[in-house]
Amino acid sequence: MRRIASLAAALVVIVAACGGDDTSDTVTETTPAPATTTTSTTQAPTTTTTEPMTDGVTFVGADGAETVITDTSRIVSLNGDITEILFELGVGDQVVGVDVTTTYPPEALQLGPPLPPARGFLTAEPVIALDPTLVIGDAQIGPAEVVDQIRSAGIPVALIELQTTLEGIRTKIETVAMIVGEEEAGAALADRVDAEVAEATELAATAAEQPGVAFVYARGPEALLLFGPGSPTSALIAGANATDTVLGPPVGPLTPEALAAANPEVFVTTADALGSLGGPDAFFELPGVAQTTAGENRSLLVYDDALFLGFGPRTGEALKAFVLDLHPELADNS
Amino acid sequence: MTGERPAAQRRRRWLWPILIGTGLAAVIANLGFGAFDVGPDRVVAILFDHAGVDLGIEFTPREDAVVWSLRLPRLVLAFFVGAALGGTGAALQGLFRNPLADPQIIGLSGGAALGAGVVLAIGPGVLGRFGGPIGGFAGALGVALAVYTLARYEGRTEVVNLVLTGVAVSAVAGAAIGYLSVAVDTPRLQTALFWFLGSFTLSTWESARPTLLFVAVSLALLPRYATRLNLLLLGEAEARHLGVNVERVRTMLLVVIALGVGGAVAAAGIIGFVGLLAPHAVRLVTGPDHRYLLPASAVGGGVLVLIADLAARTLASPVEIPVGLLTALVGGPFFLWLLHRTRAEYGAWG
Amino acid sequence: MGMTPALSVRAAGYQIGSAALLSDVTLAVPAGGLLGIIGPNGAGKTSLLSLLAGDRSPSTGIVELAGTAIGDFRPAELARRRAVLPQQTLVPFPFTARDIVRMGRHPHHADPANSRQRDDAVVAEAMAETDTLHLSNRVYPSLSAGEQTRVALARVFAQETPVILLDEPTATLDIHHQEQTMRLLRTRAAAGTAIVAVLHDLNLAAAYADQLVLLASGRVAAQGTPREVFDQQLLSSTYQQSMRVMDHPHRDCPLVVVE
Repeated sequence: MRRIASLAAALVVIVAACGGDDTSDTVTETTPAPATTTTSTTQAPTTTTTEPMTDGVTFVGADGAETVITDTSRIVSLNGDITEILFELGVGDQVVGVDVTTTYPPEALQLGPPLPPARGFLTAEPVIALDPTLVIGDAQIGPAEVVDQIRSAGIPVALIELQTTLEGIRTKIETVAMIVGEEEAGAALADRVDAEVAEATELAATAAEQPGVAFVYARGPEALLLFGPGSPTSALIAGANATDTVLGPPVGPLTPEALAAANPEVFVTTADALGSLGGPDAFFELPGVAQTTAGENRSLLVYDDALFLGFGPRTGEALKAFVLDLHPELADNS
Repeated sequence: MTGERPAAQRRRRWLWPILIGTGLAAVIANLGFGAFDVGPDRVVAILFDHAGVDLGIEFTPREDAVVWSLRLPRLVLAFFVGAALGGTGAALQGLFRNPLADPQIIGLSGGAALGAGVVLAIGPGVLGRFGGPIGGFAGALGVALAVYTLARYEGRTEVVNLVLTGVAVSAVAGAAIGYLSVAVDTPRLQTALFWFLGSFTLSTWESARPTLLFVAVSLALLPRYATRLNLLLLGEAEARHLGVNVERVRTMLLVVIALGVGGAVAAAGIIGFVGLLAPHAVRLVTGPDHRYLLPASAVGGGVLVLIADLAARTLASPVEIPVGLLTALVGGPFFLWLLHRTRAEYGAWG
Repeated sequence: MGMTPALSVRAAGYQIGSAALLSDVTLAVPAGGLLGIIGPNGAGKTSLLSLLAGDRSPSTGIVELAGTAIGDFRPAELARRRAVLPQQTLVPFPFTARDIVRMGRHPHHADPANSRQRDDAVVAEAMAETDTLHLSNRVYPSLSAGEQTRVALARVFAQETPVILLDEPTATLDIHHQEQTMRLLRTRAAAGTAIVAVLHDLNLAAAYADQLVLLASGRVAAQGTPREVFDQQLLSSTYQQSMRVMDHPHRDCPLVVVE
């Protein structure tokens, strides 16, 4: 989420700064980004190790930094999915600060203003000002200098591997649980999420049709992205027994050409993305959208950003809603 | 301005007390204020504590960490970057005989950003931490030579030529940085924003050190050219008639200026208009004599950037405003006013 | 007077590309001489002065200062041997008049025998001579063109060189200051300085120069004393303007009037 948001924001500024209207080239070049994130997920269990210590937990993070965690009484979460996991683990009352990607649960939003990303990324002082004993984020928190600055104030920063597959959610939950010393609750939560995901995928597997789906993301009309195979959303589309019709790279520019090639039956996007475009009507007026099957039928599914892209405790719930929206005939079987 | 000599001397006496006083206040405020506030007494106590003096004022380890590890490197870097921009701005105005010269306006900063960006994009290799400043130096020097060659006509630089050359060079450098930042992998995208807007957010001692060295060398060498810069203000031919080896001095000055600008931009991105604001403010007090102007513009630029960075961190706290935006907000209108006045006074030949 | 002239040019030519700006110019100025260079626009007066100053190297021939090729001097050395007054000195920053004159002392700062007191004395004397003392604390860019010229002249005097070159020193001056400046140059010459001045005003040239060079299309059309050079027909054809040469009623020199 944060990565996508900052990526999109960055593009807007770069395109503006270049003063050109050749946005397609600019966006095309950004595509290597998600490829690295998806490949890294398979290594997560090997690079992230935790072992109990007499006076705390030693955690080797995704950035290779060894962090000794002795006190979890004041936790700052830098990712919405991690915040959700912390509250599900029952340590929500120890969370003293969250970032802007946290939108759930409601208690997390009572913590005061969220930590702002400065130009799309974090700055050290607002985090330190919360006087945390532990900061947790994922591998894409950065820049590394800011993380170093927080650590230089004597605050442990644990960066966990990024997970963008349905299988990776268990690893993510267990890692967070180990860091905060709630292994039992973590195992239970992971079991629950796995069961919910399994239920949704099994239900989806009974469907006869595999509708063609394209996921669209946007940060305003200047930064339109089409997610393809290898992106986080393709895992959800596969889990929902649908076909990802986007041919192109994991994250590519949304162009009329790419849309014509994909020709999906259903568009999927998030509430924030749609809001940044100005609503469904504005979406269907984008060049090339009306010429697709989904455009002709005005077929568009919209989900909450954190729910759909979070890969956290609510992913089973999100997946089930997605399955039922794609295969309405299954509603009776569920 | 009467330009009365005794008045100028009297004003000059106040210059250093004012600069140092403002500077010290800015130091205490920069170290104390932020998303995490530390009282001025504690700031002083922490500084003295590191000098081995116990003032008997209590402070927490976290306050110590924030002041000493987080804000001090940022403060030192901000001061040196400002000093580099102020000092080189004054020197550029003398060298080009043009009150509108500024590292950003004539494109040196853009060239430095491109140079540093290229090194970071392809990887600094054996250059390590020095890669950025070395790339910045090369980029700034390349642009300096290009602008000097392109914008001058019969030993003078026409305002319009100078500014337009700078605009063109900046546009090319900006486009190239934009291309670089999207052509390489994702994390660099943030780097591009950093170059365009200027910021000290990422300052650490490790990242600051090479820049401090480059800027220190540049600022140490600049005053050696003060008298010859004064003579150059009479015109290149006149300076030559007075015994200045114009070609040599010009080349050396461009190298020294590129060192300062390259080092500054490599660490903090493009922070515009400091090289214009500081020398012009200082000149009101010191007069145009480079022997006073160069050191005072450097210190003035440093203090100016300290104040700008304080505002950047606190105005919209906890969000940080890129400091380059703030200097542009103040400097842009000043530049327009100066452009108008210069053309009114000297015609197209500023 | 020594045998070697303070400044001499032998068979000098100056070309830019295929255009010959000067051809075959030969002249010599002894210490104490005041040479006037006259000629219509585009005759090559300023080009000749820049050869004399060492700003440009002649394409052919040689320019010598006290018997040594001018190109052999290092810039700092040259600055102690010849001073140059340009047509106009634009200074885009608020230096005072005194600051400007003081810059003329720069070539002497490497000399251990020089002192701050000596600088001050020379500067004050030069400003007194040029009637600019009262302008000392004024900002140079705010002075009138005539005042700027006199301040620039003071700077040239402060340089204390055996050779002084001036490019139209009287162009911006009123009649009083024209006469005063030319008298000053004469006084300087009488004290042993070799002076070369490009002059537009033929009558000023005739009244104050002891030798004249008349340039036409980059060549020396005539040279010698004012009486030798002021040939009615030659002047008229050179300037493409019918002129009459007569004797000055009060001075021992020719006078030229437009017919």
